[in-house]
Amino acid sequence: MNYNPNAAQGGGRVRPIKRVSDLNAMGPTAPMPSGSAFMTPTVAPTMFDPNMYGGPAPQQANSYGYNAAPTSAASPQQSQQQNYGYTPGQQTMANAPSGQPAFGMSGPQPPAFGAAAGSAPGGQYPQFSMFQQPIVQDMAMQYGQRLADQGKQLVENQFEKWVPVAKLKYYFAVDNAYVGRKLRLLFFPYIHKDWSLKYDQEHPVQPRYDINAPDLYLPTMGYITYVIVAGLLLGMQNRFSPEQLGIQASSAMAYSIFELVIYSISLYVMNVKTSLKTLDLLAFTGYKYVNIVVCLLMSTLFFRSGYYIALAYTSFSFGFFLLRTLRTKLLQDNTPTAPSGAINYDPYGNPQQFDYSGGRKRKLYFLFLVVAGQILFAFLLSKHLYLPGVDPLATLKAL
Amino acid sequence: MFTLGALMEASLLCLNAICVLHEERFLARFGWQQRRAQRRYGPPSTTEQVLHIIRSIRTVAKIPLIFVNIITITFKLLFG
Repeated sequence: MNYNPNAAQGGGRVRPIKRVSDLNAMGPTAPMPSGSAFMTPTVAPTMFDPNMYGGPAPQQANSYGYNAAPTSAASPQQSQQQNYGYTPGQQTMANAPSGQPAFGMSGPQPPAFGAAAGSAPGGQYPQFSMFQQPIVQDMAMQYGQRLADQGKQLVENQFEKWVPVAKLKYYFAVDNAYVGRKLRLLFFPYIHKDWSLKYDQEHPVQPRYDINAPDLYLPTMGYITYVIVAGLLLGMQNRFSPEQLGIQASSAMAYSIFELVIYSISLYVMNVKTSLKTLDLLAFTGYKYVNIVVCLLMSTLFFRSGYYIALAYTSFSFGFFLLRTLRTKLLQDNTPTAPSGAINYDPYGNPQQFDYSGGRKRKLYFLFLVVAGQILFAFLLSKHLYLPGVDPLATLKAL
Repeated sequence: MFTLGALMEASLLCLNAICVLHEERFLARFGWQQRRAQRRYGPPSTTEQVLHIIRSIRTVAKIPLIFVNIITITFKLLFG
């Protein structure tokens, strides 16, 4: 894309600007970084800077990064040569009469070509001579660009198909202040007043602007911390082995998937119409890792009693938190969001599909199922890990 | 220990169990057969939802389950 047919001024031949077709071939989805990925980092700070190589800028016909080097001036030529990593063989080619351009190669030029041209300046490889004609280079570059763009788009489409990136981005839009406030809310939810979700027209606002929004950052970090703390506690009880970390991680993941499946199925079977998405459920059920980590850390200080007291307190406050949050989400739900996902699928196409009211009793049952499940799973995930007390034999052995 | 492997095994067994349920021979005895004719208006009841999910699982998972079962049985015979 940096190829510049107007470079050789000596010819006096001004070719029509071909850049437009190049840019069209690139399309809007492939901005500059795709091209600049081929450059060494020292080459160009900005490709669109016409003054990049210190040449007399304003009279240049283009601004595509390569400043056409005057044939008389030796030093810009030199610098360009350094910057593009040209071998002297290329120099002879750049100085070739009229038609031969001194192209700046930052596009997807095949590296083999540069090497071959460098090592063989003359006609030693005549089969490569056609590559030195500008039109062939242009075509090859466009073709390569298009191929690369197609490949990139294909990968992106496939990735989008399997992983809902846009949805996940919403759940990770957090900042430090939000994390602090959310943690405080998880452990002291009693004085919080406003539990309703804020809406920006149709979509809920990002978590960083709304403390009541579910996020996946805390669950993810809690999960990782849980695995590490589990390793720590196993080590304190002399039960640690490296594969234990993997086992704990796998077990916690299995529990998460299991309870998510249970909640989804029960939402479906109880025919609860709600705007609660599966990822929301994952977020709300993932907050329990924070509680588990706190309980386990308490058990390192106060052993069994500390663990049980912490578990009771965090279960209580987390249950309070979940009840308030899910109650506003489930029971007082008149949100304008369209239902999506398997939970909201209504096989009979009722006219009241978008109405989430009704079924209050079933919704309450579901609410208590979730809360009880959280407490149960928090206990199951930590009961084999907490430090029961100082074992005198173990300390003797450690000494 | 309830790990991911155990979860997969359990879900495989559960799916098998659901697919095995026969509509006329087994479910009809409990009055759980499909009654599309006398469906009244209104939201579907819990029983209908359960039936629906059983039928959906049977439709979707029957053929993949055959291959997964074969693979699992082979591996269990060889390594487990």
